[in-house]
Amino acid sequence: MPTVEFQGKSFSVDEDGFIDNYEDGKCDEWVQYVKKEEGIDELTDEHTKVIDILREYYEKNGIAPMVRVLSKLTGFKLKHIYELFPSGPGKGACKMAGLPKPTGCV
Amino acid sequence: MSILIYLLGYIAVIAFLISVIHRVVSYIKQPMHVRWELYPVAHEGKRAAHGGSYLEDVDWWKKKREKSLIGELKVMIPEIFFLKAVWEHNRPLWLSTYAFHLGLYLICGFLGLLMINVFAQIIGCTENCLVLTVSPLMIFMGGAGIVLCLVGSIMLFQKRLNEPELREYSGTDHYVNLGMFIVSMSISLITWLFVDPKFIMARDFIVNMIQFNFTPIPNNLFGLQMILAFILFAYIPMTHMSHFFMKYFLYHDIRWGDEPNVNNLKVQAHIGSVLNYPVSWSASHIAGHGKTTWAEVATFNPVAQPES
Amino acid sequence: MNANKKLSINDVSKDTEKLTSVKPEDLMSLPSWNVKEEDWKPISEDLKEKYVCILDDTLILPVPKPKTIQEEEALVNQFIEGMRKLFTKENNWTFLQILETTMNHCARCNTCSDACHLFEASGRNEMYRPIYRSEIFRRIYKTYVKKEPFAKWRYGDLELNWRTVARLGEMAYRCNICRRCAQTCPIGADNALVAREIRKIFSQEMGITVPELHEKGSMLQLEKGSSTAMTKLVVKDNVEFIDEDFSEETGFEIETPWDVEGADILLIHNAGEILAWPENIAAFSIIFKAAGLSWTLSSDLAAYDSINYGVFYDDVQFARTALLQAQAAKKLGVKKIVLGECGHAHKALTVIADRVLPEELNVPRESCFPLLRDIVMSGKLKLDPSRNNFPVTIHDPCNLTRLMGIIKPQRDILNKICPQFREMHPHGAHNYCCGGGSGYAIMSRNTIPEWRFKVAGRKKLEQILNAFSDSRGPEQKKYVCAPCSNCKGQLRDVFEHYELLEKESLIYNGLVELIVNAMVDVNPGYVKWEEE
Repeated sequence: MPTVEFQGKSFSVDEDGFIDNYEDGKCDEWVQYVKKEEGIDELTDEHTKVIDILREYYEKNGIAPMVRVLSKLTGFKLKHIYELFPSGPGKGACKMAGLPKPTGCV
Repeated sequence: MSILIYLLGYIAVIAFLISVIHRVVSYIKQPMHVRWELYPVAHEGKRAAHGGSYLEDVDWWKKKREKSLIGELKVMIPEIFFLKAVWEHNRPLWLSTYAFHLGLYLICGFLGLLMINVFAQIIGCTENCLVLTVSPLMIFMGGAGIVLCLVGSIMLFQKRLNEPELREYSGTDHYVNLGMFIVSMSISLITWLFVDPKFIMARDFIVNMIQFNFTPIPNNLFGLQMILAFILFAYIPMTHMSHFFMKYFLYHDIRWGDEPNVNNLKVQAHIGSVLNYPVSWSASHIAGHGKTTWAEVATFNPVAQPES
Repeated sequence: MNANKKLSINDVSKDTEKLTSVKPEDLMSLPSWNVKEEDWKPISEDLKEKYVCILDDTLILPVPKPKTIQEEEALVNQFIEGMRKLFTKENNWTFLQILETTMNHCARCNTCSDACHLFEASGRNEMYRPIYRSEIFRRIYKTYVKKEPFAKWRYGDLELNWRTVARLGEMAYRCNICRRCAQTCPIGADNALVAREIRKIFSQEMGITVPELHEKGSMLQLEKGSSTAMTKLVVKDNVEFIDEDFSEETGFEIETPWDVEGADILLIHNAGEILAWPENIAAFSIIFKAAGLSWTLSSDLAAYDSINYGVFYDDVQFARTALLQAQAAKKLGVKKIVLGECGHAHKALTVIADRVLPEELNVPRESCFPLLRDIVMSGKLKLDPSRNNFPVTIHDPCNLTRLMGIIKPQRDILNKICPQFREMHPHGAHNYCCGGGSGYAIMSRNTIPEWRFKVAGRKKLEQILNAFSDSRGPEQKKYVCAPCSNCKGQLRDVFEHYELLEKESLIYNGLVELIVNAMVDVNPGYVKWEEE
């Protein structure tokens, strides 16, 4: 698996750039790395809220929430989530939260 | 020498039959494949027109299945007699392959009529009655068949040799097969034109063969023709040209093989038997769990989690 | 003349960096289309270091790169061993008859070439010619496994080395296994099956698989119950959420039933729908409730996800999944299983499993489309077709149409509820694959998306553009009905990549969404062109 280096830390990621080990992604360096990759200008409280909710859901359920569930839990419309994370909730937000890439026919 | 040609004839017929039976039996003896049909399935009755199947009905297993022979014939006749699939999907090849195949069909028709003549002669019909009944048609079919088959095989040989798309995929077998047709049909053509225009010699030869009466062969060219024809006859079913009979299975058993397992004792017995076949695939998700038969392997979950 | 057209069979064994490359200028042109395609992004050095990347510009099957001569030899030997097993009845009773007749009777006449959308889209790149792959496979088989007398001389010589094997494995993933080629074969040979059989050797013998299909696919299904990794608890939670969310949105109360013993119907969705297209799940629940059906979902392992990726690459994984799904139905005592909008699941459980399931598990299985047709025609739903008054075309999933003959029910429905329904050409049993067939729709590694957009999905895109030639541009909203999760995944990514929503107001979705969109008892606007 490839590794990426950022701010002195190295992360092992899969071919789509998702972090291999969830626990490793629970640090600011990973979040900052994805922020840069995603071309997000500034991390706001709204970003943090999405990330926190994703992590909480994932830790409980072992999978990312449905987009509609995320939208309900955060109170953000999907359109707004796309504004926060230009690659969308899956490729953007989940990646930043350190979740693995979604699997199956999704 | 003549007797050797007769002998070659017997060997060729036997070899032909053995090859055909061997191919058919080895196909039938293999386990029934899983369903892998391709639509349109010709025997689907009215639905065949849009490519549909009995699966278009709710509770299809409760309904009586239509199986239309006419539907099959509607596909088979244009396919067999006009090579419809090549016409539709590979038009540039159609003329040459059609000439070749039509030639073969005519030769088969000719042989059928010749055999009628042969048996008529054996049971003692006079020369006159034979000539009057089928001979003109027989001569036409024989002559036209030889000419078309020769022209077709030369055209196919030429295409395989000169067209890059075909040449890349042509093996020596293609050239040998077609070459054998070209040589054999050329000699047959010369024999027909100059030695045996009414196929009298051919008829007498077969009568003699059937009666084990090894009368010397009256003409060397005719003898050569028979040698080549017998070799070809024995050779065809050993090659990919055996599709002339295997196509039955490729169409009826595979492409149109939509027979469902609804109270189907034959399929049930088959499943019972194949699930007990041993599996020896080596990948780790299959091997190494102490499971040996398909039934064991397929009901084993290599990543099963304890019930929570 | 483009160099790729001169590619020869023997090139597959040569020590070259790549076998071929489809350049932007080779690609088939599209109608009224001004998108300039880029050349391929290079494969990373890291991947090239680990895996064999010598076919073209994409890496789908990760074959570990052999580092020593011993490893090179091992790759060849394992492959030959696998091929040998492939031609035994014990190991391959499922397909031996079809494979062997294809090996013996293909006349190599090229009649199938023009049927292949990949061959056409790639500008007739020789690698995509359906018999290119089969011919390599056939030569190896005849010479090294069957050992026919004079095989090399008769069928053509082919050097067998690790490059041949690795390239052949990767090449098995340059085919959608849509079997359009097989449909045109005058003899009845099946060159698409050859691609699947090669995949089987790699998976079943060599343990080399595509991660999305195996570890993250069929194995996850066996482990968690679904390839999406949703467990029993999560899936029920999610569907409950869908029920609430859509009840509110549509004004039509739904409560999706779970594990109802003795229900008439066990409906099995592709679980990807739950996560990615929940409107499909809700639409089924709305329609089935409105029609008054007795039905249920099952929360048993693998029975709440109809997927069976084994269909794409592995007979053992196929059988395992099908057995679990049938067992769940048996346990609930339902009268039948109905498959939701997922093509490969339809074919897997209805058709292929028909000669795999033992009698005690032979629960009747049917497609949702005839059932939906009967519901729509029965008058049980109050439908207002004017709500669907926009151009609609249907994409036929190969598994449903060419491979199962389920063609008319969808059309009966569309003709009734979509005033502007029009066909693509060709369609039905002669359709073209979406480009995602046989598993690619769920892959997004390295340049796989590029390949899906530029090559695999190109013909379908052309068909869609042509179907809407009277209404191009962003002013007119248009809908492609693609009643299959995999096809939807492919169309979603293609539409997004080419910005077809923005440029053409073009969306895709299933069939049930259109039915619900026309239901008078449901708030208008079930089908949406914009995310909210």
